Amino acid sequence: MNESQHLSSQFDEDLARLRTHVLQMGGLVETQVSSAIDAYSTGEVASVKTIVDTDRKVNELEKAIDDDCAHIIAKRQPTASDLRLVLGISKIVTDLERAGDEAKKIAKGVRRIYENGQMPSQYGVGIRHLAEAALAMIRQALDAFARLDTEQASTVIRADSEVDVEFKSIIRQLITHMMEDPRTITTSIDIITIARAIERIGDHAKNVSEQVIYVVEGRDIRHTKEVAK
Amino acid sequence: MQQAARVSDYTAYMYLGEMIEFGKTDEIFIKPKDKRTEDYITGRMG
Repeated sequence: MNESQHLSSQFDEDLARLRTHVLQMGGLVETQVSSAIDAYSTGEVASVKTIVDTDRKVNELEKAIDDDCAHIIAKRQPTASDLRLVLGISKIVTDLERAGDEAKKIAKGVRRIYENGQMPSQYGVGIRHLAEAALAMIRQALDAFARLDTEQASTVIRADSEVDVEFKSIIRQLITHMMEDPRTITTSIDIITIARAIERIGDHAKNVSEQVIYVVEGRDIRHTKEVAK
Repeated sequence: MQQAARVSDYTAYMYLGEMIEFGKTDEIFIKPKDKRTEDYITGRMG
């Protein structure tokens, strides 16, 4: 990435502001995900409302950032690394917003489980561990974006397959539970929804990281087995 | 520069009589290899 200054300092300010907004949005999504996980462990259903409210802010930021991207393209005709940054950001915000939606799904699932008088901890499956891994991925992906660090981005991409494996193992355990005792089916399905949402958050973190690599190196590694050189 | 990018298939960037970089216009304007090319087309120099 090119960190030196443009002849037009206004353009520098526009790009810097854009990046700050993305990080601000990322911060909100990170909070959503971590409060959703806390709600799962503690059963604090009250935080569900906060998560849903934060989602509105995230949606607004997504629209505002996309609008800023359109303005920069129209007014500045960015090229090379600037162009890649603007394009990358436009995709990153989509993924961040969807990760936020997944956090909302987790929160609502948690509310359903506790309202039915169930405790997800009774099911003893590794949701907590899966969630910690996905949260770490989101954090690292944002960090990689902030520092334009492709090493960090590659780490996140590799971590995604571990999350996928863990997700599958949770599904297997829950199927066993449901076969042993059909009364657990309702809650198990809710837990599956939650696990799926967490797994999707990992996927979104991976997508963000792929965009970081595109922004920095101009390599498009989506849908390939290729990670970093 | 926008016009050059629009009408050409290949682009060469020269600075002080020296050929810095030559390549497909798409490559030069999206992923230039040389930092001086990058600085010029992104408006950081010149």
